[in-house]
Amino acid sequence: MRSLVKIPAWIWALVVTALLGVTYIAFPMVEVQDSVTVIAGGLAVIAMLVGIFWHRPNRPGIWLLLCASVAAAFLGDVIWGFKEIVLNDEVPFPSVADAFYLAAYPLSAAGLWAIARSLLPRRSIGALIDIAIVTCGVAIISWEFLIEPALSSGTISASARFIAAAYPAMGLFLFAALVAIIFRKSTSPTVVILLGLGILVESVSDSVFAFAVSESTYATGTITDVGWLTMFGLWGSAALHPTMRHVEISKLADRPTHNMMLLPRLVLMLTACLVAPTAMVFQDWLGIEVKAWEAIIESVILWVLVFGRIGVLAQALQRSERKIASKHENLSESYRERNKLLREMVQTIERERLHIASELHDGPVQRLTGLGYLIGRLEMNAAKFQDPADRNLVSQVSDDLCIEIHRLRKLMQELRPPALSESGLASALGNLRHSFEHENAIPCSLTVRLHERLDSSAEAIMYRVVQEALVNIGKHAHANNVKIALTQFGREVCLEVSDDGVGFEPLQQSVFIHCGHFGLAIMRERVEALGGDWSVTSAPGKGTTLIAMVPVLTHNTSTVLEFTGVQS
Amino acid sequence: MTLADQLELLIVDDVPSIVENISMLLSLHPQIRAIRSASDGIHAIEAVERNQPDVIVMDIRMPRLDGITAAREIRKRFPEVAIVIHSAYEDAALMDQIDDIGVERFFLKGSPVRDLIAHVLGAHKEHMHLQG
Repeated sequence: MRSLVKIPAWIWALVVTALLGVTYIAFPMVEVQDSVTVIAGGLAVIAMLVGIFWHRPNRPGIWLLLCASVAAAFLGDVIWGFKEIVLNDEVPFPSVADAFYLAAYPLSAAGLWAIARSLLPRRSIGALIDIAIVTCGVAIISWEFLIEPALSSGTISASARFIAAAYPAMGLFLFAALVAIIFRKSTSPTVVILLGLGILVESVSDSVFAFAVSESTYATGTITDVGWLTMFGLWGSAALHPTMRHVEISKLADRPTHNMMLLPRLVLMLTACLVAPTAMVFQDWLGIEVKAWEAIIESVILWVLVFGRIGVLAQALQRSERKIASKHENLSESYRERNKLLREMVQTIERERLHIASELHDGPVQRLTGLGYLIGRLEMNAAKFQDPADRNLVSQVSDDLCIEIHRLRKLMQELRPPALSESGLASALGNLRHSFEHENAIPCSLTVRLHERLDSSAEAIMYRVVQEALVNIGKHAHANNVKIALTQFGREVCLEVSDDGVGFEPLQQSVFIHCGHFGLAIMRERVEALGGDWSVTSAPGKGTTLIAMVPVLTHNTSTVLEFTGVQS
Repeated sequence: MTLADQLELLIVDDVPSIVENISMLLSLHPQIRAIRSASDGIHAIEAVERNQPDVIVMDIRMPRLDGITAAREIRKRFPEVAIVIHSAYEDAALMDQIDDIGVERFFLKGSPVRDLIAHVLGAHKEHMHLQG
């Protein structure tokens, strides 16, 4: 019992509709069938009113219009049933009931177009043309095979022909609204499916009805009536679905696709161009008279719509290209700005390093060195100390002081190598190579071919790149040989650092960053700050090669510098 | 110890306090007879021309003429003078230049003064040995 209660109300509505349909087919008596149709219509109206009250939709007017259309059809069935069952009279065609049936169409159309209007993007001529193409295609088929035959039927009266043709014609308005709703992808897909299926079965039933009436073969109790009954149930179910409250909101609000050259759109346009000729072929096959001028007019209408759509798409493409060009320019500008900031940041960092190195030199190092001289004087007189422990203490203090002074000097060198400022990059790299070999016992060759000294920030950045690269090689590469080459090619300088170590997967670079190892990324940023290009080539077991190509900004010297470090 | 065993030194550095401190400390050693000073490479060469010292303790980074260039010039003109380079930094380029000139000893600033004395006495001894 509990599981029955958990079944949503909209499912129950479908179940009841199915039961009514089975009853309609199982009991082929006019009284039963007319009663079932009236009950289905009445239940649909109640279900829609309950749904509106229960779910409080954003746009209750839409659902009231749809409910009014179902109510109009229901009243039509009541009149029909009253005539057939109570008055025991055959219902003529057309009758008062048809007025209510036909009145349902504009009410349905108003409700569905209100949904479509909310879903469609503003000023969307392209989307409207898409809807027009599909609707025209269906309209042509409907005209050729339903509307025109009904209008030209010789077996029924003029008013009957008009009313018979009106059903499929009015259905086209509902169809057009449904196409718009489907194209725009509502956030309530289930509700759209239920409404859409309802329109579909109603359209099929109307088409069969129009054909049957034009041939004077329609009678109550056929499968056609089950279609209308099903439509009642589907719309009642749609109103009971919880998502009915926002059926008019599109999923595509932030992703407009109405002006995108998508494959389905292209297929649609191609199919539309072939509708009229295909209809002619089928007419000929069915032995129906083919009116060439009609086919020409139909084709022209569709082709005009298709070419108009292509024009709108072309315009949209042009607008997109202009937007992309503008964004590209903005991006390039941002990139230039970023590089400028990076360069200034690097220069600031180097200035700070120099400042700190200077402060260390002028402050603690000088003072400690001064203390060293005082200790030295004490040490010179230490021979006069009677206690050897005192002499040892003085020596110990002197040695410890010396160690601290050397540590500070090493720190100063790391912050700002004197050779970089005084002698240039080649000399500083030579010292770096020497230190690396001494500390890691790995042979390291250095080749420098520069026509001129580089700009100080470029020298600092290249130095730091090599410094970082050598630190990484010392820590991780397990290399047997390292090569550093700095070569000038015209107005570009190429720095290459390669080793024959363990290498790594290039894709691992993002993993390194994720794990907090920013060395490679920082090197790339520094090189790009100079307006240069950076590349890393590596593979497991195949060593690593770092290459930086930077434009030359000169130091205003014209000395040709050649420096080749000896490989140990 | 005779006068002949005692050394005359020339301390070359552009920082007066370093010259003063080193001179004061070295003067306490019994083997040091006289200490003169110069504030840059040009003064150093002039001082050597006037009073040929036994050992020069030479700084590197000085105005007007740096220590390496002065040492090279002194080595060429006064080969009998021993040279000890006294520098705050030790780098490969500097060591190559020092080897090139044939400087006897290299002493890092901030090291214990006993080491400076050992370098000064050692440089003189080695140089005398080489001179034959």
